[in-house]
Amino acid sequence: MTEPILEVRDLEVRYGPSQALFGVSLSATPASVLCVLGANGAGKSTLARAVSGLVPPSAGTIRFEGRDITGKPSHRIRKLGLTYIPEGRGVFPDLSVIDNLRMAVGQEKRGERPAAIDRAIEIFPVLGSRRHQRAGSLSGGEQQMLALARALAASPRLIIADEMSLGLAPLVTESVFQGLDAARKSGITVVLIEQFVHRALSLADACVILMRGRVGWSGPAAEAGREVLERYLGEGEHSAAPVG
Amino acid sequence: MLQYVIAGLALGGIYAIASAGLVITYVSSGILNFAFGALAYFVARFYYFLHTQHGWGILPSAVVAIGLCAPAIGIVLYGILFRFMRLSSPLIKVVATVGLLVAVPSLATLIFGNQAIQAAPGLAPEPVRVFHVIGVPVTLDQVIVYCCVVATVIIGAAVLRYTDVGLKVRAMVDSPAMTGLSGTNPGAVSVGVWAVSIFFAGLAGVLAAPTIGLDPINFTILVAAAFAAVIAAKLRSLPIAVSVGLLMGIVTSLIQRYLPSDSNWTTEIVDAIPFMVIAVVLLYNLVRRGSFGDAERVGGPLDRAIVPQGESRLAGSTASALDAGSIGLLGRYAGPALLMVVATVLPLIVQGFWVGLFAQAFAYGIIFLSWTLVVGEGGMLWLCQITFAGVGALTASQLAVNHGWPVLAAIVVGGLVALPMGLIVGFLSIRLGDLYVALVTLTFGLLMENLVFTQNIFVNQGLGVNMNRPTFAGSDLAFTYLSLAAFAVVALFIVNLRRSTTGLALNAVRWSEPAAKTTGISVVQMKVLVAGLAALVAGIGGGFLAAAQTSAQPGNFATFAGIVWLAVLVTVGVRSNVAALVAGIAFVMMPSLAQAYLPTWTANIPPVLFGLGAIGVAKFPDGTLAQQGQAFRRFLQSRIDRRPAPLAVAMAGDGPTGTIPTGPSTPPAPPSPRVTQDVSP
Repeated sequence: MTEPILEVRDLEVRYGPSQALFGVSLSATPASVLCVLGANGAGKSTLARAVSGLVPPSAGTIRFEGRDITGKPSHRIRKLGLTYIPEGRGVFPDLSVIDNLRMAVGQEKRGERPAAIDRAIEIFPVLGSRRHQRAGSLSGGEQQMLALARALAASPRLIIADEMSLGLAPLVTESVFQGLDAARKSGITVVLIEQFVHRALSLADACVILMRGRVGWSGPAAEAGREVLERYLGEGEHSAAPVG
Repeated sequence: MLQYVIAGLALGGIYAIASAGLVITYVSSGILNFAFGALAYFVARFYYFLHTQHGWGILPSAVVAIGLCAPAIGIVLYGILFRFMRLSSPLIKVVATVGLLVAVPSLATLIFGNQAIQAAPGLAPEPVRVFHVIGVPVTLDQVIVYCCVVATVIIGAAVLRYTDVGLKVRAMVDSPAMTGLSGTNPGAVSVGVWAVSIFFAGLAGVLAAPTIGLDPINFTILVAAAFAAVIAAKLRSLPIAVSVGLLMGIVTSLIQRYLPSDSNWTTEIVDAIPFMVIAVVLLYNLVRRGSFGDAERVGGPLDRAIVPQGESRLAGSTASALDAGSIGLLGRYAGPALLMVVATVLPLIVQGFWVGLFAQAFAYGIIFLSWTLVVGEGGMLWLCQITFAGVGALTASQLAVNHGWPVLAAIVVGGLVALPMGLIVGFLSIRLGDLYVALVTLTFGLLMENLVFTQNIFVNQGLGVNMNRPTFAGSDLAFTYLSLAAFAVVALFIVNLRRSTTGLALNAVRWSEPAAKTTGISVVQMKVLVAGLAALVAGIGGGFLAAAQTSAQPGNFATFAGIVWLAVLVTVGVRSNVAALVAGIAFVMMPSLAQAYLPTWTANIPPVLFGLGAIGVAKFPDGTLAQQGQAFRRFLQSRIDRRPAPLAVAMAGDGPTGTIPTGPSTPPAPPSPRVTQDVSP
């Protein structure tokens, strides 16, 4: 068993007076896909925000590549190689496509930045033709491609992708998933927060199901069969969420 | 014609630099810096201190004052204050910068001394050289202003567009959270932005000093004018703010060409121009869109998603009446009753002069209650309560003295004249949002001060109009008790308002406007109602103040004096009736006590303390008295009532020391975290 690249122990998060996460523990092995599932309000995004340093945890530890990153600010965590693509559209809507990519590669050495930007555009060529367009005026799919391109351009070691398929057409969703799959093949660990349960599971190696801020079930993705999903996500959730 | 444009460009240039400084901190930190003018004054005063008083050369003085001191102030202010206010409500942000506005000029006097300064040199060597361009005289000072504006625009645009630093600033404006996720420290960017903003303040201050003189109030009026450009830019657009600033300067200058130069009316119109621009922009936006909507939002959806709701609000919820029972009658009424007894006994103990001061203190208490209403209950920050008090005082004195009305009737009618003004200003500004309420009321106050309070019928060659006291309460002591009784009546009215259905509706509106709307409460209607009542109360308080002082002086109701009043009240506590009384006593007694028993230089200390107190709301939204009261009641409760404290140690909203619980453990209606609902664009 290899050393986990991300290890979360007994994580608790509060938003003011209310608590969103209760003792959540999970770990991800390098170059794998860990899929985090859960109903609305289960704490998936809160987990991602705490790991990426956007909200401070009130208890617990987060280790990334053996280093304690609990409570570190988000820009530090990003510099260590952990990249979070937030729910919604993970782009700067008022900046142009090229400025979005420039922001993403700001940590690289000055001379290497243009090459990093070119690599990112190679992954999603459509972005090349939209270089000077405002990111906010791109279509939803193009914005997600830009968000993913931003994440990949910065040579990350772990990407947390939060509901990237939300509100996208099936074809576009597919290309986003292919982008994530390619990232994993190149050695990047992916933590996938998804509503497309079956599509996400087909990509994932391991799976964690959150329920009301607690880990309800965790194990290899292959074992997350029908029973597990029905038990923890519920029939209602199933029929409401698109099944990929 | 050309000479007017050239003169106007100099004024416009200063507006432009100031509005640029205001916009950059608003878009990057969400803070509209009401203290900008005060800080500009501070730097200009420091420049004068170095250059004129200590004989430094122009260049070293300018480099040290504008280039080093100003950015350092920005960095320090960010580090100790603004850094913690990113997530605060607009109300708290405004109050904190208003506190700074009160504290900084007095601080400058304490540091640099208080000698009167007749003329302040600018960046040009004295005597100032005059050039002739196409027959138009242009001073070197004006040329320097043009150069600074051009440099600001060119360097600013180039940095923002083409450099990595500029990219980071633009990214930060878009979304600080996303900036952090991209590996850039948003805090570092903010520090830089604040340093640049206060640099602009210092530059504008030093450039403006030769024209407007070294007077803190003039500086703040100048910046209030720059607010017009900022509002026209909807607080966000740098190019619009700079262009409107320049344009306003030219228009101001051009208008003087067509108005008779020897009339008072001309000066009044010229002074009022920026405020007319604000009025036109607001009305235009009101008619066109009904609301500024997103204008007050800073950052993106992600930034709002990670903000916990219900924390650090100046006016959160009054606790529900249900929780009041657990505190017990003694706990609820001990404080207020004790204070009323003290307030009744004190005037009997003291002699002569001090008795009269108590009458004034209680009259101030009534005026302060209008803020208790509008801030505490309405959740809005009004900066023109002093104007309503002035309207009440001036009306009452006219009616009582010149028309022979009974005094009490005149005072009440004075309040009734202020009431519709409150309703109209409220109707125009409330739907635009909290920040605009503060801006519009400030503007309204300055406009009234310039256009109405200056009329000779009120000024009376600088003497003011006499004001009678009721015949049955002619002596100082009798009138003191009449004022105290009036205070008690208004305070009881507020207590009952809190208990009423209207009070509940207001409470709902303060906690969540969307939620209140879904239960069928008209938010604008409720807030306008409170604004009107507050104007009435302020007007009546103004009448009492005039009667206590036995004359109505328009000069006593200057808008910026009102901002000091607000700082005093906020320091003590803006949600409690008792605090209003304490604030009234403190405001009147502290300077007099200092004058009587302490060296004169200490006269500048109270404003600094009150300013700092107002800044302190960032940490204690309830004010100091409320904090103490809360602690006292917890103590009482633990002694009297052995039952375990309920989860929400909510204070009695209807008890006059009623305070709002803040902090994580106490809100009576724990708001839900914004985890999922706000994140989709």
